[in-house]
Amino acid sequence: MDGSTVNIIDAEWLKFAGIRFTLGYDGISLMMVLLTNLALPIIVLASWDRVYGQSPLFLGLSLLMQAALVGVFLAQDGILFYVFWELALIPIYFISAIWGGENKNRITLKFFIYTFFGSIFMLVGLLLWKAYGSSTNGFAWMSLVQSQIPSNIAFWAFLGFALAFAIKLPLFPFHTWQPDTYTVAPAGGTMLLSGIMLKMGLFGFIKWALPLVPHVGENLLHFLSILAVIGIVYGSIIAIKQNDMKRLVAFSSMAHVGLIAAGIFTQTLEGIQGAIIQMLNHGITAIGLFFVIDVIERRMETRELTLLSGIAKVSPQFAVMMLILVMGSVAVPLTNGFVGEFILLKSVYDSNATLGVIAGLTIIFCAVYLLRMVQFSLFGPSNTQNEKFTPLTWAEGLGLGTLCFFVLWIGLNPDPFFGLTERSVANLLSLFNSIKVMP
Amino acid sequence: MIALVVVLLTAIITLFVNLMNSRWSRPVATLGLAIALGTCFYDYSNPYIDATEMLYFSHASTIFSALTILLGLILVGLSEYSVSYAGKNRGDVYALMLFSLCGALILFSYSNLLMLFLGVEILSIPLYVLAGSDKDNLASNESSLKYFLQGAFATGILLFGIALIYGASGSFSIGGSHENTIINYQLYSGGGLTMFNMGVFMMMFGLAFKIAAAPFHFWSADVYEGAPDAVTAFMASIVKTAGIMAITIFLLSIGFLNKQWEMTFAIMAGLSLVVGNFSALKQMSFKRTLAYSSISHAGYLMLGITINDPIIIPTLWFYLFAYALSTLVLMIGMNWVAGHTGKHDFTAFNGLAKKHPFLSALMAVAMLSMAGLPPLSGFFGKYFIFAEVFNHSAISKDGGFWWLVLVAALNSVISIYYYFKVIIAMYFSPSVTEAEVPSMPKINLVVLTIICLALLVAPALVNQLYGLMFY
Repeated sequence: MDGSTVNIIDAEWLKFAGIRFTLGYDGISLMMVLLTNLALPIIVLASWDRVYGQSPLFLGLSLLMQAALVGVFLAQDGILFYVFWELALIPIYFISAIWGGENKNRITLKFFIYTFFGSIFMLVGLLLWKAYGSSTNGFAWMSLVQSQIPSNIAFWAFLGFALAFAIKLPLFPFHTWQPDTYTVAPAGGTMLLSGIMLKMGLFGFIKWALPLVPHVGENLLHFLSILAVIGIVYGSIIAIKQNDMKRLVAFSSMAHVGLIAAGIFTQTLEGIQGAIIQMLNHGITAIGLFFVIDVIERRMETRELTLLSGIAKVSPQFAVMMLILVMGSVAVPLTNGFVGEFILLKSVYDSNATLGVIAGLTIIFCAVYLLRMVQFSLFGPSNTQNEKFTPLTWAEGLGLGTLCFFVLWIGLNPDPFFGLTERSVANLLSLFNSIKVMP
Repeated sequence: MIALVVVLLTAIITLFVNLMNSRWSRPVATLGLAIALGTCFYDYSNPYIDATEMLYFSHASTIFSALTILLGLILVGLSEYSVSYAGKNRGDVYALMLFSLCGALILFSYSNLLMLFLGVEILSIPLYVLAGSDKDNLASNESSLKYFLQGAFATGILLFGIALIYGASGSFSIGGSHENTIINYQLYSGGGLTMFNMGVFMMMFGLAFKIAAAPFHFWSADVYEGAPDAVTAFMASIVKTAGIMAITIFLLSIGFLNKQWEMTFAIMAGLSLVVGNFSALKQMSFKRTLAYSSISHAGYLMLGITINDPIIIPTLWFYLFAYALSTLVLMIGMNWVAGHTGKHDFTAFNGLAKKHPFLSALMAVAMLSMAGLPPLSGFFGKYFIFAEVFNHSAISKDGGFWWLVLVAALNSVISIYYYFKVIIAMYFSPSVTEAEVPSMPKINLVVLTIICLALLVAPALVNQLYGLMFY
C-alpha cells in the first residue's frame, strides 16, 4: 500500500452544514484500529471472572466503546470525529461509575466534566477552522488541512484542539483526573482508559492538531514538549512513592505518554513513527500491567505493595508473564518497549538535546518503580496469605499469554509494524510541509 | 390556519364533553390535536394570509405550529396520570391547555403587533389558571399568583412598548406586503426615533419575560416548581417555543434596529446562560433544576437570534425540537416517579435503574440529549447554533458575537454537573425510598421510546427540514 487515505464509506450527512459521513483509513488509522480490536477481546477476557464480566450491560458498553474508538480512528470529517470522540466517553463513564470503587460518583463525574470541558473547545476549534478558513469541502479532513486560515484564528483553534487532546492524554497540568479515575474504575474500565482511550489524544495530535502548526508557528509546540517532559519526570517521581499498584501504573502511564507526546511534537518521521509504535506498545503493556494487578487483587483482595510478598513461589507461570510485561514497559532490549522508546528518545534528542536528556530519565525511573513493584509482589519470602493465590483461569492465561506474545513479537521483529505506518507518516509530513500559510 | 381553528374547536368541544363525562375529555382532546396535526400538512401546502394582514401562516410558522401541536398531543395524550390531580375538572385543564396552544400558534404567525399582543395574552391567561389548577396544593396557588402578578406586569410593559412604536411609526404591521410596516413607515418627525427605540426596548423586555430570559427570570423557578407537573412541562416546552418565536419574528423584522439592541440582547443571552446554569448547580429538587436549565436553554436560543438573519429559524426549530422533546420525556418520567414517591428531589430517583431499567434508560437518553452529547439531537441543536454564530462572525465587519459562543461552550460543560445528578441517582446510588414506584403504562413507555429514537435519528433529517422551511 502506498500510505494514502482510502475511504471506506463517504456519504452525505448534513449537507447544509458541510458535514459528511466519511470513514477512511491510512496506515496510522490501521495501526490504531489494530490496537483497539486486539485490546477489546483481551479486556473482555480480563473481566471474564469478575462479577460484571459476563453481564450484558458491560459487554454492550464495551462494544459501544469499541465502535466509537474505531470511529475516532477512521473519521475523515471533523464533526464526525468529534461525534465519535464524545460517544466514546459515555460507555466508559458508565462502566467506571456502575462498577467502580469508593467515591466513584464524585470521581467519575469529575473525569467526565474534565474531558468534556476539553472536547467542547475542540468543537469550537473545529468551528473556527471551518468558519474562518478557506475550506472548500466543509469539515472534510483533507479540505481543512489544505485550507488557509488567519494565524490568530489558527492559534485559538490549535489551543482548542491541544486542550482536548492534552486532557485526554493527560499532559502535565491537566492530569488531575487521571490517577483517581484509574484507581476507582473497575479493571476493565482502567484498561480501556489507559490502553486505548488515551491513544485517542495522541492520534488526535498527529492527525488534527499538527496540520495547524504551520499557521501558528512552532513555539506552541515547543511549549507543549516542555509540558510533556515535565510530565515524564513528575509522573515517574510520584510513581516511585506509590504503594497502591494501580496508582503506580497510572502515574507510570502518564510518564510513558509524556514521552510519546514529546516524540509527536518533534514533527519528524522518526518521532512520529516511534510514537505510533509506542502507542501500540503502551496499549499492550498498560493493559497487561492492569491485568496482572487485577489478577493479584482478585485473589489477595489487596493492591497494597506492602501487604504482598513472594507470589512467584506459588505461581511461577504468572510470575513469568508479569515479568515479561514489566520488561516490556521498562523497555528492556528485545521487548516491544525498547523499540519504541529508543526511537522516541533519539528523535527528541535530535530536535532538542536538553529535553532529550531529561526525557531519557524515564528509562531509569521506570526501572525503579516497576522493579520495585515486582520485587515487593513477586519476590521475597512467601506470605501466609499466598495460599489464596489460586492458579490462573483459562481466560486469564489466554489474555496474558497473548499480550506476552505481542510484547516479544514486536520486540524481536518490529519491521512489519513500522512498515504499516511508514508511508502514511511520510505522506502526512509532506502534506503538512506543503501547507500554504496566509501572508 | 385550519390547524388553529381545529385546536380552538377541540378546546371548546372538550369543555362541553367534560360536562357530560370527564373520562372522555382526554380522548377527545387527543383526537382533536391529532386531527390538528394532520391539518398542518394541508396548511403547509396552502400558506394563508388574511386580508388585513394580521396573520401570515408561512411554511416556517406551520412547521413550528406542527411542533407545538405534537408536543401538546404527547402531553395531553399521556396525561392520564399527570392530570389526575384535577379529578372531575380535568377537562378544564385540557381545554385551558388547548386555548393556550392557540395563543402559541398565533405567535408563530403574527404579522401585526396587535396579534402579537393578543397571542401573548391568549397564551398567558390560561396559564395563570393552569398554574393554580391544583387547588388544594398551596404551592400551586402560590405559583399561580406569582405568575399572574409578574406576568401581568410584563404584559403591561409589552403593551406600552407597542403603543410607543405605534406612536412613532403610525403602524402596527411588521411584515406582509404593506408598505407602511413599522420599520418602513416614515417616522414622525421630532423625537420619533427615540420613541421608537423606547418601544423596542420595552417590547424586548416584555417578551424576554415570557421566555424567562435573565434578568427577567425570577418568576420562573418558583412558578415551575409550584405548578402541577403537566403544566410545568407545558410551560417549559410549548410556551418556551412560542415565546422564542415571538421574540425572533419581532426582532428580525426590525433587524434589531441598531447595534445597541443587538448588544443588549447578546448580553441578555449570556446572562441567561450563566444565571441559569449557576443557579441550577446547587438545587436539590429535580423540578427546580429543570426550571433553571430552561433559563439557560433560552440563553442558547437567544445566542442564535443575535446573528440577526432569518437563516437561523430552522436552527432554532431544531434546537427547540430537541430541547422540548427531551424536556417532555424528563417531565413525564419525573411526574411518574415523584408522584409515587411524593417528592421531586434527586433522591427520589435513587436506584430507579434497578427497578425500572427501561424508564431510567429513556430518561438518561433525554438527559444526555439535554446536556448536548453527540450523537443526540441536543448536541446538534447546540452545534448548529454555534456554527451559525461563528459563520456570521467570520463575515461580519465587527467580529460578531463569537465570544458569546465561548460563554455558551463553557456553560454547557457546567451544565453536565447538574444534568448528571439524576443519572447518578438512577444508576449509581442505592435506593433510599420505601415507596414503591409501579411500572409505567405500556403506551407511555412506547411513546417515550419513540421520542428518544427520534432524538437519535432526527439529526439525519435536518437537511430536509431546511428545504421545507425555505421552500
